[in-house]
Amino acid sequence: MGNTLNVNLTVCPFCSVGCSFYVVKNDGSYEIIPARGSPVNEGKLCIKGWHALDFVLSKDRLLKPLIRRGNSFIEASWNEALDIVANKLREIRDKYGPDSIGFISSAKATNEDNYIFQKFARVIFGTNNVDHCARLCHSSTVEGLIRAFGTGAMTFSISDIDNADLIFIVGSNTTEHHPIIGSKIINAVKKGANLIVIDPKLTKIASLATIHLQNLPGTDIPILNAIANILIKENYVDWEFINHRTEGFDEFRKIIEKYTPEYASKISEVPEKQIIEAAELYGKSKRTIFFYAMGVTQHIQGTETVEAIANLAMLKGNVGRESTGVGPLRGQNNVQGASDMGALSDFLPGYVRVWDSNAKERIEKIWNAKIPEKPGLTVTEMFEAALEGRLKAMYIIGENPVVSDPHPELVRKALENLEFLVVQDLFLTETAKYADVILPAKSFAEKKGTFTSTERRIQKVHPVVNIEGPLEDWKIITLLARRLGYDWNYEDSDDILREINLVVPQYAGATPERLEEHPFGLQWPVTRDGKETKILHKDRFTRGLGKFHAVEWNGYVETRDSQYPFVLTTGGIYYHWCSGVMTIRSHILYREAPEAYVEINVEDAKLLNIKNGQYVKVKTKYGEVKVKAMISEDIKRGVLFIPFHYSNVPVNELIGYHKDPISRIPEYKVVAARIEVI
Amino acid sequence: MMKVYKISKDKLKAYLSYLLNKGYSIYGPVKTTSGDVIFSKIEDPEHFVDEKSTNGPKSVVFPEREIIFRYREGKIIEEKSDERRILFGTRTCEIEGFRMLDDVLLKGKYKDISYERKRSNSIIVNFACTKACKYGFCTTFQGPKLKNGFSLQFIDIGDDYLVEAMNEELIVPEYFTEASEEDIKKAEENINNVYKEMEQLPIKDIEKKIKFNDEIWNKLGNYCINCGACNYSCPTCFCFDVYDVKIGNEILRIREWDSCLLEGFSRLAGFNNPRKDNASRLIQRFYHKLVYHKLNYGYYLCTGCGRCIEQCPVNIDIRDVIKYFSGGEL
Ligand code: SF4
Ligand code: SF4
Ligand code: SF4
Repeated sequence: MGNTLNVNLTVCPFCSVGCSFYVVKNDGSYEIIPARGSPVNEGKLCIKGWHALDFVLSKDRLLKPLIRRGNSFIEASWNEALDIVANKLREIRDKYGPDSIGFISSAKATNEDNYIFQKFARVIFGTNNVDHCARLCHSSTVEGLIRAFGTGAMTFSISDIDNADLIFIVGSNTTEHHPIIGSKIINAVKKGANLIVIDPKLTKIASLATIHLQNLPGTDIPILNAIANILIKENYVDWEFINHRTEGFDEFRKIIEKYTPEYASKISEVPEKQIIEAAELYGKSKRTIFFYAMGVTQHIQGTETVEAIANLAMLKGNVGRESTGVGPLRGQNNVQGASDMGALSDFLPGYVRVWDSNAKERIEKIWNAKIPEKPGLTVTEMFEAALEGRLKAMYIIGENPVVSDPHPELVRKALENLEFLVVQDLFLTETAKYADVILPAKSFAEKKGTFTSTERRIQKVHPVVNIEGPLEDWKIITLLARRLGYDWNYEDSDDILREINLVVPQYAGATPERLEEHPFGLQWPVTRDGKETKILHKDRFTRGLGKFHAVEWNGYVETRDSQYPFVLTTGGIYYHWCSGVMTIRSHILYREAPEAYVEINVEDAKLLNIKNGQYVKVKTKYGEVKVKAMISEDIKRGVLFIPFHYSNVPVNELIGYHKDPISRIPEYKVVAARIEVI
Repeated sequence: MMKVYKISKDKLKAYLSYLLNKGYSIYGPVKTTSGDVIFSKIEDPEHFVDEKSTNGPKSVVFPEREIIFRYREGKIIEEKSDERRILFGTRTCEIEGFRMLDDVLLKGKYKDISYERKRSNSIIVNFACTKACKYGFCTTFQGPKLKNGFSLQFIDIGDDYLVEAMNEELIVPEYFTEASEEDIKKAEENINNVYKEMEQLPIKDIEKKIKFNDEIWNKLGNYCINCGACNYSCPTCFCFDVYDVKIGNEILRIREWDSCLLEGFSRLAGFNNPRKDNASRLIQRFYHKLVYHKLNYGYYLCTGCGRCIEQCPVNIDIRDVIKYFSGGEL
């Protein structure tokens, strides 16, 4: 009997854990049912997952294309809107050249959407100016892990958590940002696993830790190096692994000698004793899993911190074995996939460098086009170029840089400076308000396609809600391509996935049919005959030998002084997502966290005479915001925290201009600040 | 008076087709190709399975979110639901939950009209379990078989189902035959299997043994990640929030399930909150189920379905709490 009931199955649109659920429609209402069969969420969801349809069904959804007329928008037909976009983009390309247009793709869109969009930029417009928000959250992971291991992704599977004897977390508020992974860590701890957490805040997961190293933001490298130093001194290392599977050890060893617990303690303000205890706990562990997130990646030394974690894992042979490995917790539900698809200014699909002409040839043949060698502009560089007038047009899908990127005031100016801006989104976002044409896109719940989770799991989603008006992102792009003279004949997302199977080696066997047979996905690399990969680097690293990197702590770029005595750090909270566009449209999620705040340690607040709930000003060299104070015992003294979800408290106006020179990720997590009573 | 029939398992799908053709909307457990069982509208009788579903039927009569009424040009327009529906293949722990919802939502001073609208046109065809399900503990309460509150109740007796009929509404001679004494005995035996397989919890007087001041609440509170699943999945939880949404010149009054494990649930003006931490919210949940409802209605607000255990990401287990306060360990 042909059973078609997978049509109800989809994947959560929020974080990158990749929880599956069914959606059924009852007499006028929708119900979300967590999928028991999913090896990822095993019948559970976090609060965001339970409310994943709220924004989909929001009354604010855009249903028709909008065209700017002066200061307002008028509704238009798809034909009209697409004609304008195609003509205008062609005109700008012909007049100013291919690199005068920038394309920002979306980690919320499917693999198929991302693939088509970067192909659109590269093939039809001849530019590598295509990038997406991974630049702002995990580009340092891609760089760091490719350099260390050869593949920029989680080395193990989520299910490996169960049997690890130590879980080592750096800079991840796991129960709030990746709650279902957080819950698995809690369950492992309940069963007796040890837990080390490095975090400036006493988060929930930190409160359950065997050892919590509460450091100053941006001081992970000295701690990680000091632990490595102790391991070598106390001979806790796996020589066999180091000798046969790695390179660069001697140089690394030399560098870390000066990172004594005392030295690391001075920089990080973590007691020496705790660093030694953590080293011993790790030293005695047989199977350790490392997790890290934006607390590591969004730093000026983001890439190097990732490398420092990789070093620590390799020292004890904790890569490529069951219940060991290094796990970046990616942000958006498809940031892994968008990166895999080459929606990055320096990578083609499958992580082929744009300047690697040998590797590139294969893709050029399939596309029947030449791809420029020059890396394109990154997300942040695009806005800089627009400000300077080098970039004339932008096409932004499902991103809200006016809220989420550093320096919103500059982003706004940059957008105003453009001759032409297309925004493709579900809502009239702060960014869409600057557009010349707004194209209404379907949400995850209305389309077919695939998403790739943080454990490299490629999962298929199905349309579970029907909303008349919006179109799939790939569909819109295809319609534009045809208007620009390319006969792109993709009938549906499966056709695109078949092309991805050819182009991206990691996805070779993840065919539409196979993913239907494996409703909870396959983990890449998937070989042509359909074999998935639970654990990477088993007998051999992707790059051959694992590479130790001799990384040093470069000191603060922003030092605290009497004028700016605090370190301000930013982050997300459990109930919200990114720029808030989706979660403020959920009644319950919004109710749970309706306003922004600055979290300040109770002792610091006492000294400054700040009361709970009182409005204060937080100032940095770059800007200031007015926000309510939240007095807490959980945050380290000398540190301030402001969540980044609220467009009325644009915390990204406060951060500096510093970037990680390798991955070009902006420094979001450390900026010197002061707080003033008003 | 209740009558007893039987139906051959071979005829079940044909019977479902017959009901579909009669114009009923049928909701019941269906198996997806991915192997999950979900309670949803049945379009094709082939999809039906006699198994416990992840979600159960609650949201058919009490949806996650629904419009209560619309307000347009000075008038209140009530929502209608004229679907004639059969909930086919429910479990006893689910329908017992309906009975409890009825007590709260229909039998008080004010009637919940939205609930009544959907509840009153839902015919129940219950399937009494003959095997213990994985997390269930229904034998601590009403057991796996309903005494009333259904139109038909099916009990697996091998090649046939024994069918108890409270009324003749859905009885069609073509599919049903008379049941023998032996069939009835067999059904009883099968139901008894569940009593044998399941652990009975020391529920007696739990409302007197449970304690407000106890370390267990902090301990569990440290784990709880406020996902809301224990409420969302519960057949007896009835708390909701109400809000208005304006669309054009129409205002919709909407109600949505709420969860007492969320901070905003009991937050007061000025961000004061009598239940600030997880521990106090867990106390609320368990006290409501095991103490307050018993005082007000004479029974515990739990049917032993085990869904809150199954869907809790951090394995907070009501069975453990009951055992703990009856002298067990955690
Ligand atoms: S853990 Fe992440 S993927 Fe899972 S339900 Fe929550 S937000 Fe969605
Ligand atoms: S709890 Fe009892 S009635 Fe409910 S599904 Fe399990 S066995 Fe059946
Ligand atoms: S299901 Fe568990 S984690 Fe979720 S709110 Fe309930 S007790 Fe907390």
